[in-house]
Amino acid sequence: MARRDLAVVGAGPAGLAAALAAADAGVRVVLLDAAPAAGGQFYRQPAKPLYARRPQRLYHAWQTWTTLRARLEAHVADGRISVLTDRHVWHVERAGSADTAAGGFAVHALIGPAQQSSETVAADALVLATGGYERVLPFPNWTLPGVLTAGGAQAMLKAGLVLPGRRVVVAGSGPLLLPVAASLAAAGAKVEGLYESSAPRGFAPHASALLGNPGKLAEGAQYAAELARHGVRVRFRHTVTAAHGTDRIEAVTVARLDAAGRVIEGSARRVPCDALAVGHGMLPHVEIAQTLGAELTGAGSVAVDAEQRTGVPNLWAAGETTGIGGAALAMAEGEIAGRSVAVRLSGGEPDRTAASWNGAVRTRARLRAFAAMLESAYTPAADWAERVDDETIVCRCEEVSAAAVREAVTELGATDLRTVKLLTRAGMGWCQGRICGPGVAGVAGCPAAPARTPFARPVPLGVLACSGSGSDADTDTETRTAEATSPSPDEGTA
Amino acid sequence: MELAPRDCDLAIIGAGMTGAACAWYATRAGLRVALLERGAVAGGTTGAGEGNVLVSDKEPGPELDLALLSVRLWQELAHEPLFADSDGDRVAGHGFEYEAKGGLVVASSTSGFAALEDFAREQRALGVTAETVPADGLADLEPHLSPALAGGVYYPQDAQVQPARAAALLVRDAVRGGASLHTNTTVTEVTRTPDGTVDGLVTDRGTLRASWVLNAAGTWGGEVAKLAGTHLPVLPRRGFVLVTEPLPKLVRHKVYAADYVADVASSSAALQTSAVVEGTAAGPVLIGASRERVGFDRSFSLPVARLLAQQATELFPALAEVQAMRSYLGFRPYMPDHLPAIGADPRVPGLLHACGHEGAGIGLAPATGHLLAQILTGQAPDLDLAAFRPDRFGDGDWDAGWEAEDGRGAAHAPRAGESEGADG
Amino acid sequence: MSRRRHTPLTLVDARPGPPFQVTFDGTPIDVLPGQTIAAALWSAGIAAWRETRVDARPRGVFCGIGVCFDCLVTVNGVANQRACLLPAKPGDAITTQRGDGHGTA
Repeated sequence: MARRDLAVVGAGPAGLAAALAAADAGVRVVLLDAAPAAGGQFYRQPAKPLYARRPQRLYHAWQTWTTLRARLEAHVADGRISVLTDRHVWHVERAGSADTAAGGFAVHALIGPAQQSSETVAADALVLATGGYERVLPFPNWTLPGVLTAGGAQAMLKAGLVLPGRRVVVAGSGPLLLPVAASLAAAGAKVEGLYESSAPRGFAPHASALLGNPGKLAEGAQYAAELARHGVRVRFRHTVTAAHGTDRIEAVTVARLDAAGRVIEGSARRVPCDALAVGHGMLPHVEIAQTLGAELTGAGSVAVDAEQRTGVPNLWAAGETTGIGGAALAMAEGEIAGRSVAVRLSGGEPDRTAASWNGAVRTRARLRAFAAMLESAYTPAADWAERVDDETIVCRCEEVSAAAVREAVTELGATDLRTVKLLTRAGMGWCQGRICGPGVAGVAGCPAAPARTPFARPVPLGVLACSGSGSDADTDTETRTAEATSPSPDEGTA
Repeated sequence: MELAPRDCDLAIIGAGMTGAACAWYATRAGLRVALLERGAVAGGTTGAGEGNVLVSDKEPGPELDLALLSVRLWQELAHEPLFADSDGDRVAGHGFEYEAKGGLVVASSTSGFAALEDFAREQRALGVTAETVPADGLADLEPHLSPALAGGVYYPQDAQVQPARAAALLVRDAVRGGASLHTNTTVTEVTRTPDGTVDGLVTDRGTLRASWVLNAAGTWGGEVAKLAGTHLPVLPRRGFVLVTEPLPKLVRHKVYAADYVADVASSSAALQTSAVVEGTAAGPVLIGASRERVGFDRSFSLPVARLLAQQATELFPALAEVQAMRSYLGFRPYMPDHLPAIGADPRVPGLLHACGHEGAGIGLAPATGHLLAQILTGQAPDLDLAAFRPDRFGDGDWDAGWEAEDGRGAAHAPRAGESEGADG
Repeated sequence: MSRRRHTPLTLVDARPGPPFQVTFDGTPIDVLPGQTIAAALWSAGIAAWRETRVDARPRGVFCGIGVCFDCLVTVNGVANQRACLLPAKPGDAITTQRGDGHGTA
């Protein structure tokens, strides 16, 4: 593929908004996403061959999606946007030197689902809209089959039209739990309860943020009404203290929390279930940004200025990756990024007096305030780490127990997450610490740090050995396809 | 935790592998030791290597002598009951995962093989066990090795450990023996008496008095030397490692291409890469090795990773379909003549150094610790330490002069048959 | 008006084509076109298809979006594929994955 002005990594709300805003202004865009279709997590679609005639039943703000989709189709038709789906970006390289904007970026992506070959896309500018993923704090037996993330339950439902079980408990903390419980109930699961660890009173001090976002108020009320309609019990200040089962979850223990977020003695109840959808908020995907040298905020998200620019020349970021805040905020940020790209690539500056620019900026401010409010209102149980007993596996990939983590701290001199990892292997597995990071940090009593890795995805060595680079940045870069096949027909197997 | 004012015999700056070994041997020898570390144990280069314990890549001379002693000491340490941990059923995390796996050096051309055999002959004369392996014998040792090699030499004395765990376990045992450990503690000053003798340290958490101060700060050894009013030309030499998904035993030994030795010996600042491939007890295969002098540049280099992947898949074609999960980098502490600084600093009474081991720090740590303990207790060291004298570089323009591309200024002469880029 | 209990398919009024078959450890399973391996296994009530490397404990879907690598599965002899991302194809042979997925250690 010929070199583009702009590559956008991630076709969720932020990436779509950025690509569309840039294309509206005449920028040639390539939009990459790992999924078979655009939409990201928020607008994850039922697989086409399922022929869902009323997919909107699984979404809120369906109209927003259909509008985005129509605009995308128009720009695909007019050649401004190329959409590359089933592309798993494993590394982005800065072509040219570190100090200059010249040279742009080389985006290396594995072609899925097989992910045995790679392609390189070159662009002058890059918008990272890589989204976020769910944070889950460990608890006893959380590794039982049937225990999954709330977002995962929703993703499986949206894409595959399947339920995780017949009797599902939804628990944890965060705004995602409500829509997950609502869609599971709507799709026919018996939701045995939604157990939210925060107190409803936690929302009171932030009335202005809520009032400034009447749409959000209405949305919340809608979910609550749906849950009531399906007879789903919603309990605040409750937490799952343990899962139970032998080879699959059979029940959870739920307990009440006091005002300090600690379990109240004697309040534990057993709730039978065959699936637990659990989550404690979201974390941004920041690996690609970090590898490119972008700074992170104290909260671990990609730091950006008012135009959504990182400190790396010609690198923008938008959406959850710059701070968790939901789809509407992601779209506002994406729009600002796309406009900024268009203007900056032609050597100008955004017209901050323009009504459209200001509109997006105001929307972003309003939604950021709302997200900040949610962030402080939703908290997991304060004493969760105390319930992680020594046998509980805290690193799922490498099966590292809490005991090993504690030993690293108390006996072996580990004072940070990196050293805990070196001594115990926690964080060295397939997921490279994305899932276990917060849990290990909490159990170890050290600060959490984002999982830092130059490979955003595992990459076959044969592909890595042949990967093209942006070194030919002066000319249109041909798509270089690197194959993973072994050079000799004799493939050694174990 | 504030450092309570204390006296100790030996204050060690740096709790990497070398500092840990020095703390362990000194404590064993009856010294009161304080071990200071600005980050965490194994926080520097120790956490960024592969855990090599090698004699195979050492050329005859002081470094080989040191390596032979150290390999033996590693074996002794590995069999100390106190280094087995309680979780004995697990493969990974057991003790420090010592594997006496042996090393296999392979050559891809007949001339390279001849040079390799010459090298092995010299090493054998000094006590290294080295077995020549003809091309058709390689498959017995390594069934998945490329059939297109000219031959190799097998070194049964080579071994591997998990370096972070090894350092941490040595430190733990030293602490149990009476040493004190101070992590997250940065040394800001090395204090001296009016006659210039070192007598203690000032840190950001308090002061302490010590009869001796040991610079075990690895790649940052130059900074510490400066604090003590002297000079040690340690420079960083960046290396990358690729880590694969967990695999069954695909690679049985440490396997590396013969040009690795030339790369180690090179003084060029430019990128040197040669294939080094080994399995680990936990399952992943580690792939190295690259060397370049780029200061402390921590940014990832896809071109280097690409070369490492290419070279590894040339040696082991089956690796082409294996997934690389991550890559990490570290900075080897590099000295102009590729030999560490070990021993008392004649320029500063009371100051000792144990740093600059470049890529051999893990392997050479026990010998370093053992020899220093001997010095500190007034015994004659088991090895002549003249070649490791910390003041051997003078105070000349080492920071500038020996960075020349042609290796001018390096005290190390290339061996016959080797030059930069030799195919080994 | 009584509230009708939906299934995921009826909720979105899905009209998929006819199901095809895959096997799991030799047992046939019906799959709807477009479903992933994970969705196929869930439809058959199967929640785990892998045993972990160290403790041989069962695992299946956890994050559902390809980030956690818990759902690794062996399909047609190829190991370590994420079941939540991999579309099922007619005749796919899914087998319980053990250890590192590459055969005996």
